[in-house]
Amino acid sequence: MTARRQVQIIASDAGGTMTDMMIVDTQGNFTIGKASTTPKDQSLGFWESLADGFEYWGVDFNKEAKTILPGVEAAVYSGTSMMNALITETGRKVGVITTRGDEDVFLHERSAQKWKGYAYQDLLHHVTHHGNNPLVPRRLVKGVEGRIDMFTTEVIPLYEDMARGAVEELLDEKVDAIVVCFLHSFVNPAHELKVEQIATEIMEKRGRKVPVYLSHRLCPIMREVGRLNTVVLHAYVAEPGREQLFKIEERLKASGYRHPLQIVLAHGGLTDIRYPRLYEASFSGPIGGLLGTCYLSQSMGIDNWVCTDMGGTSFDVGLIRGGQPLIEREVVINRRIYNIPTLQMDTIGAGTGMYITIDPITKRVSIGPESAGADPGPVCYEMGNETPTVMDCALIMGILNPDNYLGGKKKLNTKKALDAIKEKCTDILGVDPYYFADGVYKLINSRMKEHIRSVLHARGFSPASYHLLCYGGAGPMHLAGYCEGLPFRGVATMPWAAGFSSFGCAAVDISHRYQKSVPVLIPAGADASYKLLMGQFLVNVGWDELEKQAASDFAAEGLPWEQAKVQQIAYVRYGGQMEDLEVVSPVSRINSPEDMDTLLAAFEKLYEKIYAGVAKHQRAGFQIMELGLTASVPKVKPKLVRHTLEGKTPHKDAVKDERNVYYEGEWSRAKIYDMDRLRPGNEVNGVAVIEAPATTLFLPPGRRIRMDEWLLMWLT
Amino acid sequence: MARGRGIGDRGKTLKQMLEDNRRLLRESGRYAGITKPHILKDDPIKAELFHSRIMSSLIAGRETCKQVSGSPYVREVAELCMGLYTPEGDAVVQSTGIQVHVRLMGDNVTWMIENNYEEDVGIQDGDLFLSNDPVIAGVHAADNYDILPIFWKGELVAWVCTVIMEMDIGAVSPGCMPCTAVERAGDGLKFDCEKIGSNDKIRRDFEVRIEMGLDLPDLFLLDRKGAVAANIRVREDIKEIIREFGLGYFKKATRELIEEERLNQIARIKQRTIPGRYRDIIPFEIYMSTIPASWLPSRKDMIRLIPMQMDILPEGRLVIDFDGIGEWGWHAYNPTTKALWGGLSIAVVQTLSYDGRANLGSLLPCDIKTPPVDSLFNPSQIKKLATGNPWPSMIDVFSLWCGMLGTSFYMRGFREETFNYVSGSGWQLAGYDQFGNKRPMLAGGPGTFGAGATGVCDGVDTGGWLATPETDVGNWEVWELFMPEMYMSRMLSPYSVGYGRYRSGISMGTMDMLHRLTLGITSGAIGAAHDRIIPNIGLFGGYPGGKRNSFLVRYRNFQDLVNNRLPLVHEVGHPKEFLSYPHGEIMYFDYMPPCMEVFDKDVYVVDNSSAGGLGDPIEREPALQKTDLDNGLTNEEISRNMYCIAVHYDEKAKEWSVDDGETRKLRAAKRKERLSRGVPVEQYWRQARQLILDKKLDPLLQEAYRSSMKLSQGFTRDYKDFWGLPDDFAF
Repeated sequence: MTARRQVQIIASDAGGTMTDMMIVDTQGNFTIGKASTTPKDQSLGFWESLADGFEYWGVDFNKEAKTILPGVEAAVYSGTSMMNALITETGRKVGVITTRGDEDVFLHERSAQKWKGYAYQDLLHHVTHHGNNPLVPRRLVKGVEGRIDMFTTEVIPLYEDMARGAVEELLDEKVDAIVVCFLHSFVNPAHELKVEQIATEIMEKRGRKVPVYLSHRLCPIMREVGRLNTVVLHAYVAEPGREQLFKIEERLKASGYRHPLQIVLAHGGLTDIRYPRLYEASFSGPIGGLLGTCYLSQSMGIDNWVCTDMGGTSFDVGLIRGGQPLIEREVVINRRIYNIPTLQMDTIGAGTGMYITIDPITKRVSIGPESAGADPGPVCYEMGNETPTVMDCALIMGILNPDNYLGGKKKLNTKKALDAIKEKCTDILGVDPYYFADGVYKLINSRMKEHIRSVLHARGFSPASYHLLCYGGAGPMHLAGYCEGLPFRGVATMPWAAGFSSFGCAAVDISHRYQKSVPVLIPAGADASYKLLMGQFLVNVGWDELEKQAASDFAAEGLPWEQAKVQQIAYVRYGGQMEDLEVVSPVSRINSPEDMDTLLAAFEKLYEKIYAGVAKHQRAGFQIMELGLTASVPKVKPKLVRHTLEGKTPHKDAVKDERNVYYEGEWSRAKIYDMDRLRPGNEVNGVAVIEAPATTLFLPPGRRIRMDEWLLMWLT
Repeated sequence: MARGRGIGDRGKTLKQMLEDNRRLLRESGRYAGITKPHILKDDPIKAELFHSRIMSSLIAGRETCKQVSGSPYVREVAELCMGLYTPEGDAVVQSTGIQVHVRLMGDNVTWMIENNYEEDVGIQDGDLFLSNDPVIAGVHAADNYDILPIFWKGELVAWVCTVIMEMDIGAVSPGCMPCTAVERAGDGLKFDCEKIGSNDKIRRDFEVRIEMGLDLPDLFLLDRKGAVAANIRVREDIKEIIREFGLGYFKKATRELIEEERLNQIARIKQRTIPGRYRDIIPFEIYMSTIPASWLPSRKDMIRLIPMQMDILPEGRLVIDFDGIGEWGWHAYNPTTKALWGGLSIAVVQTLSYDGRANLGSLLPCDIKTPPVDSLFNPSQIKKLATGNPWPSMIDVFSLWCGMLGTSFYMRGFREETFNYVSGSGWQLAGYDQFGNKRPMLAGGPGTFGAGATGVCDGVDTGGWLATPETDVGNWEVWELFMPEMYMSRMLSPYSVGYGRYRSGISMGTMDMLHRLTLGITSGAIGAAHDRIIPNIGLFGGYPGGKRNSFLVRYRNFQDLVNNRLPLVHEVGHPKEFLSYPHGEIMYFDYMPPCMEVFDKDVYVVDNSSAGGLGDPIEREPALQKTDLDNGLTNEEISRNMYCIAVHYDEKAKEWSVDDGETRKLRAAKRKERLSRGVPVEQYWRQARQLILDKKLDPLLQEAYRSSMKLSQGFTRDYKDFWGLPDDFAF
């Protein structure tokens, strides 16, 4: 078998429950394996999902691993294992040394962490607000006197005896790691470096060494609450996670794999698992789809995409513009704020598992924000939940097939779903349950549509410049509804929608991203020499520093720096503004006043596009508070195969059945198709339901899909 | 448009529409005379779609505003909000954010209509209006309302408004909420529904006025630009919604949303409360004798009593009455009658109407009786007075209201909904900042207060702030960009707590060291309401929060101190112990700090209070106290003295443990002690009555009672009846 099929990439997406594995051969063919995630030793789940995937190709991986793995060019890991450790609070024992006076940082939480991420109604309802359990207990947070100001000046010298005492106390507590985060260390790290030196001396004397993580080194970004959270995250879950990754790599190498294991970063980069800022990989789970879309974008020559991913609890929307995803620098994950560059993904609560309730006073229909999740799941799962969900509505409408869920592995109880909808909703409102289910279906579709619209509009973009891609197991069922009326250039999904995230992880290039805060102020009317001065002494020096760091990381990973594609970034705002815009610099260095003008003009062009023209304010001058740099080199990827187009009419074997579907107030007879049997060039007209084991595509009346040569299904 | 033809519905003028709307409400008791919200009920799904479209637009618009804005209040503290209003100015939908302005933004529109703007000023598509005068509608001049009409084929069909709190409005030093302003001019620039632009563009002459009139013009103008950009975005979305749903549906549905919410609010009140009369009172302390104001009559200290009576009527209405309130004064703490609606709005949204449907209908079942003329809440000379800092009395009053409503919730069985807030304090500053610019400064601090205990658990630590549910203290590193300060402390203060079976949340103290300040004056800011007299905002035996204290620390020689590695101040701890700090002068203010000159490296300290506890502290579950001890949120002394819980620290295990036997003994002894201290009510009454008859009350308090009796016969009668005083008794 391996003589016929040379495997090139293996890429995993380890979720909290299941690990998906994308296996790609040199011809671009791929298969997806699945296995239970094994949190204590992730190499087991990784290996099992590989074995499951190879089984679809008739290969006994356990027997043939030593034949297959030496030929594999890239093994990629992406997953939520670190996230799960964070949620279950099972990370390492970390001690923190911070600026004296801010020792209660994990208790006050900037106040904002007590409501960040809440749905609207909980946001306004104060009694629902509550604090997070500190990841670092208060007694392990030590304040040390010493202050640097925003101008880099030392105002209060470091009280070294205090620092020594703090280190000693934390070591007495047997912490596994020490995090040091002082105010303004990103502009002057002297105090953090001194504490590191003190800690090293003490640990040498005591004969016990624990890692010391300095905030300016790991995350040199302004806003101390997010910076400290980020470095604690690194020490608490990312570094222990590295041990798991080494185990996976070790197991692969024992069977002949010849390269380092690669890991996907939250900003879409890919790197060796020895990468120093491993925290960037903590939240990489949900971004695989965006990466996959980037790859599609390159292969198909379509630059602008709206990526939509619907699951059981949430609906994620991300943008690919000019073939590149957007980045955000301050993110809220699991109710904590982090300074982690992350692929922008705007999420709302809109999933198939969301509960539907009727407010006892207002009689309003309410969807979510809570979700039944996978356990107990919707009413039709018969696992104890009696409150109807969005999925129960789709089931009684006939959109979902009770005998084909997860390929028939899970039977759904339609009667139970109908009874629950009647009892909990329609008997109270005095309306027909099918009318009601149809209404819920429309409501959740509308909520998602509004979300897409606001994501685009908030950045000044129009659907008319974008294609929309739908993936995630639940997406295709709602696709026609949530894109209706939005003038996209095209709307597509694919048969492997449920496994698209792991496809994306397999398709990503090796890429690193670097950021650094700088204080560049350019007043209105600044003369040419001042602009050049700012450019040369702050902007260029900053980019030089980031580039040097990138080159050093590349060297450490054995990557060819001379082949790296380097892109300079500046974060620009008008003087006095609180937010800035990421501007991909049209110039690689500021070598003349005109270069600075070019950079600022790029900012203003972008700004005017996003906000109304009235919002421009050149009189206040400009500020660049942060610089960025990306460095990337290509790696092998799955090849997207272009198939020969066949006829419009699907083969008769593709038609499975017919059944009644309720939509827009009436029952219609819908044809049921087997998605796996559709061929390139085939067209299907609504009303129709196209079923695959892991997803269901619903076509309302008047809508049509056409499968193209890349196996994408285009909705019109 | 031809003269004589209105810009409203079917050629009506806005004034005609307003009059019709008011008449219909008056005659039918229902908003716009709607007997039954039928468009919404006929197709509830379509109604949900319609509402969610508008709400999404407002939330997205608010985000746009945040991106463009220049104010740290917007980015770090989120002091902004957007709303959609009917042509008459009635609130339909609100975004997230500071919920004070549900009605106030629209009241500005109503005022424009009443004052013939349609004819005299002109209202056209693309016109930009700005207002910040609380006499028209608002709380204080720092809140600026940007207002944009929405036209559809020549007809004005709605308004969109954005409100932002500004750091600089040109007020008299030291700040945007000036406590030194006693006359109107001291409040700063006022914009009385002024047209500041047209064709979606801000007029250059308005920008010039700002550039010439403010210390921080760019910050103010960027906020305007953010608000205008957000309003334009929402206007375009609304046009799209009208295209999709039809103009007829839009007009009917926006009005029905208000009537539906009115009915819903009545239903909520009936469901969650018990009808009856609820009464409470706060003393409002005002210390003006040291304030450097040129209007000399202002220089006197006073206390004003603010009684609050809430009647919950069986038909689901709330009526609030301030009868008995004392007189106004020459100070900045006079709220306008409109401002009171701001206080009520924020309280109502967070306790009753938090489901995203808050609008004018949430307030229609509520009534605030017009406070007595010439009282603190209704000065007849309001246009002549300063109104720059009315929050101190408002926050206390409506925090009290939350507690009264919470009591009703508790009695009805909604124990988890019971809680209250507390007012807070802060310092404001004027001077030359780290860049050499003279300007006012007000640091963010509203997110620092502990919220009241609920009926089922402790209150949330920090983040309990009546004025906005989205409390956020921001990042020090960002604030230090804007302020000539170094932040020295954000420590939770165990002594701030309102003790109880469930304690209040814990407040954060703040210490700000002036840094690179070349010349500065400072004073207290918000929250001057109760410094020496603490109102009992604990519920069912719970204690009020600890006393709020303010300090100014002046180091003897800062450089010597740090060169010798001597301790600086970072925690107040017990206030008495703090005063013994050996390396500098500690100035203590048991009331709002006066206006004074401050110097580089001075540290101003706010030791905040928290809201109330709930239930008797000696019924507190010891396990809760152990958790607090392990988290460093309390100490052994408080455990023993306030809760009668005996605890021990295990050095080896690094955790606290409770001695159950000793705790039982402590609690039994406390009960005995209470019994031994108690006196029969009649005996207490006689003793207190004698003090009144002998006029042995504090002179300020006697003057406060005199002031209330002057304005209210009812208060006088109740007071004399209760204490059995002779008819001719007077203070």
